[in-house]
Amino acid sequence: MIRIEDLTKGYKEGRGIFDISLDVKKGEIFGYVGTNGSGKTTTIRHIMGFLRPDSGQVLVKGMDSWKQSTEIMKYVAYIPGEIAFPDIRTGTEFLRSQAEFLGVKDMTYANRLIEKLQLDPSAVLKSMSKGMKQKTAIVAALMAGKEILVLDEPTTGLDPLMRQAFIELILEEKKKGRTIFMSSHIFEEIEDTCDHVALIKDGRLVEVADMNDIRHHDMKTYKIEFFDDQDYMAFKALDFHITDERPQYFQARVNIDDTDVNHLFSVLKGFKVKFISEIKYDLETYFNEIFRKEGNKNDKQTAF
Amino acid sequence: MRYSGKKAIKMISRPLFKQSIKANWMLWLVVTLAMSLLACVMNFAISKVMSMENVEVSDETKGQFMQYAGALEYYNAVNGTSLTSEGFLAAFMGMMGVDMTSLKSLKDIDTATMMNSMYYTLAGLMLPMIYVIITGNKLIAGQVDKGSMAYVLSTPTKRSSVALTQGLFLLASTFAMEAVCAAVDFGSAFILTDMSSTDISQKLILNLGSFLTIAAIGGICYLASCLFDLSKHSIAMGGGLSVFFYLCSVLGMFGTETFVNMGMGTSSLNILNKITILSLFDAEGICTIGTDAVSYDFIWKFAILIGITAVAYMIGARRFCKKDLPL
Repeated sequence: MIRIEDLTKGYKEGRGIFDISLDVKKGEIFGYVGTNGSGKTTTIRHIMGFLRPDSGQVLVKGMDSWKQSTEIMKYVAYIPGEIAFPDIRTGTEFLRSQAEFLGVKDMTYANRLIEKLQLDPSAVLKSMSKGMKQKTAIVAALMAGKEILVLDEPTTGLDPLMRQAFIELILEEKKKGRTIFMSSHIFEEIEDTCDHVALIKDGRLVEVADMNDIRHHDMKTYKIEFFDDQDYMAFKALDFHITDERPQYFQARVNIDDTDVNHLFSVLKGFKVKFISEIKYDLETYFNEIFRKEGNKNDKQTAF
Repeated sequence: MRYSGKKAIKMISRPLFKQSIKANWMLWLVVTLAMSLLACVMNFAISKVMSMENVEVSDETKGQFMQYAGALEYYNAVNGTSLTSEGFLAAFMGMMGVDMTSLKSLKDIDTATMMNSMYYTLAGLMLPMIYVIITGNKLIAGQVDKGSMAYVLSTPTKRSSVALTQGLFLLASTFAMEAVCAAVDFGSAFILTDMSSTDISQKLILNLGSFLTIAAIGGICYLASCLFDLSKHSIAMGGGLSVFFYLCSVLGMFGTETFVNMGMGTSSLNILNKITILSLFDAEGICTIGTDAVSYDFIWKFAILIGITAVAYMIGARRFCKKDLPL
């Protein structure tokens, strides 16, 4: 649905995005993560046809996003990263105007969205809180029922409850077969929704991960603490892959393949274990691992 | 032809046009009301000036003058000199530091014409100029700067259609403003003064001139709005140029023939009239309509104003369609 090919756009002082290539398939939720200023929004603006690439191209449904942006906009809905509404008084007026732009005549779905997000659109736009504005923007984007959604940090300003409601909404849209491209710097919501995740840093694509691999990662990490030094030392002498140790607490972290878990537990039977806990393998761990592999020590700390 | 007409209408985005009306009607109304009021006051003042000009020289004044003339003649007869009343006056004025020639031209000045030209080319332009500076910026650059343009361009609305709609709105709203002001101008003039057919045609052309001038200024503001992504830059160019032209026009007034002849200016300031586009609105020329010395120079000056407007709008719209938008 969305194909980004060697997209490059340079700005002053070495900023910009360089050689970005991505492929977003129909019906999937594609997460796009990176720090502030890493180039997420610039990429998204290219998808929307607001920016002209220096080189490379973005194809949406096979159409060039710069040259055929108007045609593409029949299929693409957008939530901008910065919420700023036109000079219209109330949310209702804005949504009505937006419906006219989009050629939406039936407001049933819009009203359903409003209900779901607990939005009061009759409020004056200027006096709305950040979260209210974001909700209004979400309704405006989703109400036309377009098949591709491009969302630039769509949960900014939402409280945790609303964020959950939003994630449910997004998953609902996915069920309808929509393709969703979503940027975020909150790993959790990406983990909860996405099928693929791309990580961008300083304008360059670092990695594209399959969330399934991360969710069902076959390497597990356990943190084990023993009651005394004796057991601790004995355990260390065994043939486990220990990644981290804290002798003062008699603690060790063990990396182990899923299939060997039983072996670990049977061994532990002979020890006095104070506690054992699994350290969840998540997106953050995954990306930090990648940074570590690259051997770039500075990145490890500053990545997120 | 019918086809292209339909196509042009389709190029206008109705919801965007409505949005522009909603966002700008207040300022439009305030300026239009203030301008209408101004027109009424001006017509009232001109009616006063006209009644003053028609005052007959009273017998008493004539008698007083004859007394002084008689005194001079008596002196001439006694002393064999040939002093004249004009010579006396010149000497008298000279002592006071006033040049007789400028005094003479002062008498020739048609106050009503001067007031007209001051009103139409300067005072009457100020408020509509503020309107086009603010609105011109708001229509494009303001929305790009704020980011609200994203809501328009993420719908199947062409950029060219946005440019055309907003340009049309600016042009149409200034036209409506000038039309209302012209109507009030005519209405009050009919009530307060006796209008001849010459007056009517002059007034019509003066009002047209106001519109063409504001349209050109509006064109420059629109161009600035299309060129820049930041409001402050767009205002700096659009507003800055407009105010610059206006100031040149105010100072340039002291370089015009009328003011120099009155002894109230210097022709060296006339250079300012050459660099301001406001001088293309030739009110003095228009006021020669109906006189023997009629000059039609104002027509080609109007043509230049129309040219500036067209070029500014075209370049602006083209640029907006082609540029990167940070939305």
